[in-house]
Amino acid sequence: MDKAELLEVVKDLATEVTASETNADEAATRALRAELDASIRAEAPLTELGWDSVRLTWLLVRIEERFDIDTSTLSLYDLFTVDDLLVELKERIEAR
Amino acid sequence: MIDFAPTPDELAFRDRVRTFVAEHVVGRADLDQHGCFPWDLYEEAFRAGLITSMLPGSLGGGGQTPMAVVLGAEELAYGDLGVATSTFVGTLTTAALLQFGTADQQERWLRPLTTQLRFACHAFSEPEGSSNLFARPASTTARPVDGGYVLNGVKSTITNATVASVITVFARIEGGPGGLSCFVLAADAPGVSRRNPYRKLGQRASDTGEITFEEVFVPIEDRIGQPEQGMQITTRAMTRSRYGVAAMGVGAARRARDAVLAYGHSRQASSTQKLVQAQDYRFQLAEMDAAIEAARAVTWRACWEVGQGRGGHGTRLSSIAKLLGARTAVQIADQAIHLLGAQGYMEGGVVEKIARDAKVLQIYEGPEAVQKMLIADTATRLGRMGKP
Repeated sequence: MDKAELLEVVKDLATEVTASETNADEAATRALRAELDASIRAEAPLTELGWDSVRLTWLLVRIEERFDIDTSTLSLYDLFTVDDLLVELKERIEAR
Repeated sequence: MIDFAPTPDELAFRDRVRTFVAEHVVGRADLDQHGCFPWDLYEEAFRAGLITSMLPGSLGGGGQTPMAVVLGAEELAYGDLGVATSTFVGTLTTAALLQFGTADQQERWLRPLTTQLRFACHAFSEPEGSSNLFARPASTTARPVDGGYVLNGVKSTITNATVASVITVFARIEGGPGGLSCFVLAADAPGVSRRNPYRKLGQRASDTGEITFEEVFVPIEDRIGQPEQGMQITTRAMTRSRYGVAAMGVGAARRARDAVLAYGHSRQASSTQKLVQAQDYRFQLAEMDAAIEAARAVTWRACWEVGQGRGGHGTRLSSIAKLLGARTAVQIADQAIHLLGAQGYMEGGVVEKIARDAKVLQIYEGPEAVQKMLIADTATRLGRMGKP
């Protein structure tokens, strides 16, 4: 899986996290996905997402479940951009 | 096999600090006075290579390893927590510049710290929300202008604020996404004003002040890292500093334990028995010893783990060390007051001062809630299950 594909999966999972928090229906979930498509760019700083640590942690738990990887050595505060996160995830996926 | 044993050079540095403490720190009553910054003591500490110990030799610093600095921090804190704080808080600024600064920035801002006694401070906390800039946008702003930025805002409860020559400051870029960006500037830059409005419970030998930035121009070459990279910069700097705070907690706890030990040997529990021979007293000393060893072990482990770099448990362990090291100091100081009874409670005694000095270890560089948030960040991942 290359980083572009991985970014799409991350967006899907981010949509799931947000939708479950807001009990969004199907239409609202689609709108959320479109919104995240615009806001989650590889080069953007993670802080630009405006997500708090609990939400980001929950996203990482979903990523762990999806790919059966361990992200527990990955501190979100130690990363700068979305791309930094993708690099870390890609390494773990490839090392499975 | 992981080996945390300090090297001979690291032990030699610890012994140098221990000698320094015995000769220059222990016994100085003026370190507990309001408004007294002991410049003469810091001059001695600078000459002894303590204040620049963490800077690389290539920049004129002491080139000590992180483990040596940890050992030194424990010893200096044994003497006086305030002195240890002002001596080692420069780690925050130096870590930011060493990890994210350019060679030119390191030369311009770090080398001058090694040629004569100068302090650096890390201006992060703000009066509106203390250090919780994770959860809200910074009030301090950086307005982009031709060739750089113009800073406006107030930073509060900053260690070494009024004595520093160099400031690293975190601000939100106006018109940007709202994250933090980091800048370095001279403390005497036009528009920077500093004052010391606080009367502290303890650590009075350390300076704590407020910095106001009014239309302060910072050239673009003095921005550290990229715009919006400030959270990563401060996280990495604090990761390298927090286990040092833990080491200071261990040193303070050790000093309180020693006071209890000395007291136990000097007092009679009965006509035939010294206090230290009484079972309850012995068991309390045993508890203290166990807590000190545990806090030191996790501190050394955190120092080692951070040194392993990316992909490790550095951030988590540094916060765990800080949480436990600070807590150990506070608890043992309180226990020591209890065991010394009236003597422990009297102003001017060693343990009542340690109790006052130690409290802020649980507050600065992120209170317990922040440490727990950082630990929980990775401790709640599914991947932690089944792991040591």
